[in-house]
Amino acid sequence: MFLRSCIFLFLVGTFSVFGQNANPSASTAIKANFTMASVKAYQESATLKVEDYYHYLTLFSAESTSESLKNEIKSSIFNLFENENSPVVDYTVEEKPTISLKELLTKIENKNYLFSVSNFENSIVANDFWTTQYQLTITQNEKPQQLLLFQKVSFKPILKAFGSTKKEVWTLFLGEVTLP
Amino acid sequence: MNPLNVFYQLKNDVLLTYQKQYPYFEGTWKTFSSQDIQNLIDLIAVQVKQTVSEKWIYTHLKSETNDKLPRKDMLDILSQLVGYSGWDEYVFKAKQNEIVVTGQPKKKRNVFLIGIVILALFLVGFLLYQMMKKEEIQTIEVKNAFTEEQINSDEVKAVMIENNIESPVEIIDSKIQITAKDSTKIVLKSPYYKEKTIVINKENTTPITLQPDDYAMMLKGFMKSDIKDWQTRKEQLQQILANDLEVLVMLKNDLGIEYFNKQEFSEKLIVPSISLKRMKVIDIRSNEKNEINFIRILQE
Repeated sequence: MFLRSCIFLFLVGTFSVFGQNANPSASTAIKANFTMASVKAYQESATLKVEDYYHYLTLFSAESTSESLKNEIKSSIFNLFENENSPVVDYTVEEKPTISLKELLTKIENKNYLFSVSNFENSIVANDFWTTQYQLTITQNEKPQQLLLFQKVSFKPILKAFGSTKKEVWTLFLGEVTLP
Repeated sequence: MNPLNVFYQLKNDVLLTYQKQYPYFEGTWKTFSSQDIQNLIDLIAVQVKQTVSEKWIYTHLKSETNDKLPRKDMLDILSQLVGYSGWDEYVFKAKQNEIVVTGQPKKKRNVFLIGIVILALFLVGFLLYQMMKKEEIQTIEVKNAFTEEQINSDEVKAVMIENNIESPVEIIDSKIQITAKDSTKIVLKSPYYKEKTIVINKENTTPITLQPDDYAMMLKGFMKSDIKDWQTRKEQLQQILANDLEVLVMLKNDLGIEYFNKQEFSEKLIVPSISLKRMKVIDIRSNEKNEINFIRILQE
């Protein structure tokens, strides 16, 4: 537990340093634009996106899901992420290497994996992201396995299209998933 | 008379005021039921336009003994309910009565007390007559114009308009409750029904019917759907949502807002997500083609 906490703090620290090196302008820095209470509200909303992501993965992995529905689900998953090729943990093999989100979808398709998440904890906030830690339970053939994971959540202003008009709105995106 | 004794007297007066409104109640605070508490909360809401919680009534009124005085703002509410401007006036009057009563010789005091009782009875009778005459509570059902079913209280809001001032009207069990007057203007608003303005008079007991907004109703159904029929839902969403749709999801305690466009919001409905189940629609607006172009959602 102590070791896990140390690794978590190390990762948070690494992300923070990395974030500062990126040097986003003050106008896009989370802390410059939101109170801590607001950030907590957005962090809570981000955990719902993580839950949505694993709910979609379960549906996508089900053999009974039609091909056309899988395409819909795939689109919904990609929309949650900032990048379709975000690195994620490959849950299908013992070594748990890092692969792209796209590759993961190919590997879990029709394999009837069930995913469920719990025990969310958020790290301190960097310039335009934070890290959320959670417990993932993956079940296949009634055999559950549990993993402690970290996921980057970006929160930044983007230009979003509402029909023909465009507005700059602060948006949450899921990012890379890593092991401790 | 110390302040706590004045408070005990106020509790008695509150009970008397309650009995005037609900003559069949003949008990004491000890026998005051949860339904009585609910009725008292409503009575305070209507007569004083203030809110008192069920817990507060349990703690401070229903208990036989009180260790300390409740908060002054709550004392003001109760004093207003029994006909005073606030706690200060109530204490002043209570102490004045005590001085007058204790200052009289015994015989004179008795005559004085009888006079007071007669006067009080006269006043109570007069007030009761006035209340029955002027403040009769009117309860009117709110129904769906097509299905004739009661509309869920969460889905509709009512405001009373008097002298260009809007004040909220409580809706309990799909019924609006207002103090009967010769003429009361009420506006009913709902994300799923068309807005309606009506004028209610004392004799009016006919249910208010609201006409559903078809597209908003479809959206309501979609938000509760499971994965089945996703293709039909996708086609219909394309039809009912305007291309420039703006969806605002208000985070807890108004601490932030997330924005979704047509594609993003449709995706949430086509493949129902966990976050969708935590969303409560509070406002829907449409364009001239009747397509939904604005949705305000509360994330629960």
